[in-house]
Amino acid sequence: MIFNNLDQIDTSKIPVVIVGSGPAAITLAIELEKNNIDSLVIEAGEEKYNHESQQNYQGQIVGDSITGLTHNRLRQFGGSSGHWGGWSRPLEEYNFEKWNIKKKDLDKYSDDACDILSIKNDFNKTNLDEYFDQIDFQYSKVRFAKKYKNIILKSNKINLVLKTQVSHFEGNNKNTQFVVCYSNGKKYMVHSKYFILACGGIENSRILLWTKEKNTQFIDPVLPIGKYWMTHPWMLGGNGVIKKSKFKKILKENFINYEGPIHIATSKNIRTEKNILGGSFYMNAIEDTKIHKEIIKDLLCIAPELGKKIARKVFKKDLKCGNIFLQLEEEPNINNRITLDTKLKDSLDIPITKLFYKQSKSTVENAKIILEEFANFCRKTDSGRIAILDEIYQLNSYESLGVNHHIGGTRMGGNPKTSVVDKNLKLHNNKNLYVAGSSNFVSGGYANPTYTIVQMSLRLANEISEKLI
Amino acid sequence: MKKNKKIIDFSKRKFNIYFLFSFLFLSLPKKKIKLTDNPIKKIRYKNFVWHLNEKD
Repeated sequence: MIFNNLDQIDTSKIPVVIVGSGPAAITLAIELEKNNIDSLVIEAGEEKYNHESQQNYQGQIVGDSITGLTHNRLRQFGGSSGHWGGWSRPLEEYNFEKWNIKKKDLDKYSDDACDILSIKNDFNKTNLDEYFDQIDFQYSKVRFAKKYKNIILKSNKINLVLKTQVSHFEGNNKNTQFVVCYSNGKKYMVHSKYFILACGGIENSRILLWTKEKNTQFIDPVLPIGKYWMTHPWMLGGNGVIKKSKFKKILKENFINYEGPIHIATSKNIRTEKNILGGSFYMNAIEDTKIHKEIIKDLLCIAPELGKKIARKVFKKDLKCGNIFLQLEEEPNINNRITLDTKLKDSLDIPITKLFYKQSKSTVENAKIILEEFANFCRKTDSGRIAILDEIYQLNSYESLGVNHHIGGTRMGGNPKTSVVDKNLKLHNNKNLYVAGSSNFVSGGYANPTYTIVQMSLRLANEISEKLI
Repeated sequence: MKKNKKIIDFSKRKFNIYFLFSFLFLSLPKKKIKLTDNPIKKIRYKNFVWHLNEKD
């Protein structure tokens, strides 16, 4: 059922409270329902976008400029799935090196994750050379509010309440007793057996920090809440020309032939040998664009003979010509952190987010190494020619094209001094408060996070179900 | 004793077959990427550094 007011729900016998209604929260509620478990899903926003409600997502950013916190997430039913790109792919096995779970712990939820995202469980990777793989993404068109609205409306197990903002949790002796929230102008204290914070890579930390400030005895003070915050640096790395037929010749039957650009990812080998973090990149090769002509003109100036050869093939589909965009993994940095602003507050008098973020020097170094090695591959195999953006080549900086993935802040681990949740996503030194979403990630990998968020939420639903059944 | 001319020297044939097969398998490429050993030529032009082959 869907409600607009907490007064309409008898919450006394609901064993699980989920804060948020994005991909993590809805996945949890749907999976718990399969196990005949009731849940209360609390969403601060409305069913559709509301500008006034969205303004509660305002936050201060200190350090390097990133996309504003009211732009890269949505405070509404379905959360940020209301405007996501849908790019889906699991993390690589080596991305879990510093996690205390393994890829196989999540792989068992792959079929269900694909069902939820309405995509095929068909993720390909083929080895291009020692340093690079050709990969593909599955593109999900799922908007969680649209897909699950009718299912939740008819459900007797899922109780979704909109326009209800969670302030903080309260409890004692390591036991979470209730969540404090405001609905229709009234304050509520909702009791339950289990509480799951699943409201995104910024709000998860913010609510925990506010809980810690309201009740210092309840949250272990050593937990690094809000710290090790990361994103996927997304940048223009350069441009160039690529001959698709050469890639096909190299990869033969293993060539991933699908609509869209050729996606390349770094292999485990380049990470180890060059001591870098990974990344993926693609060429935005749209024919007859201005950039296409510019690149050919540049090549004719600097290498006339090669330029003429390329120019002759300009109208053939085999020639891909365009900008190269990179999405990189970022190193966890304790100083990149979410804190609470000491002066500015939202409409419910809760401090707004103050995010400290500095781009890492290693990001631009990694970008240079990846692009140089790929340029060498293209040159040596005569499968193309690559030009690296001078700013990256000089290791000066990179221009961020947008910060859309919020990772870390409640990272998973075994040590409460360096992590916030344990391998079961339960807050350290707490009996019944869990956190879901990419805020738990220990590393970001090169793949977009939503697929892994859904896998981890399915695993958490399984964990909670085992305790309740 | 009449000599049977149809008798085949199997040992010799086996040897030939083995020789032929080993030659065939040895010649199968595992994964052949044609690499050129052209020296690199880097050219800074506008805002980019092009990675080209010397003979480009």
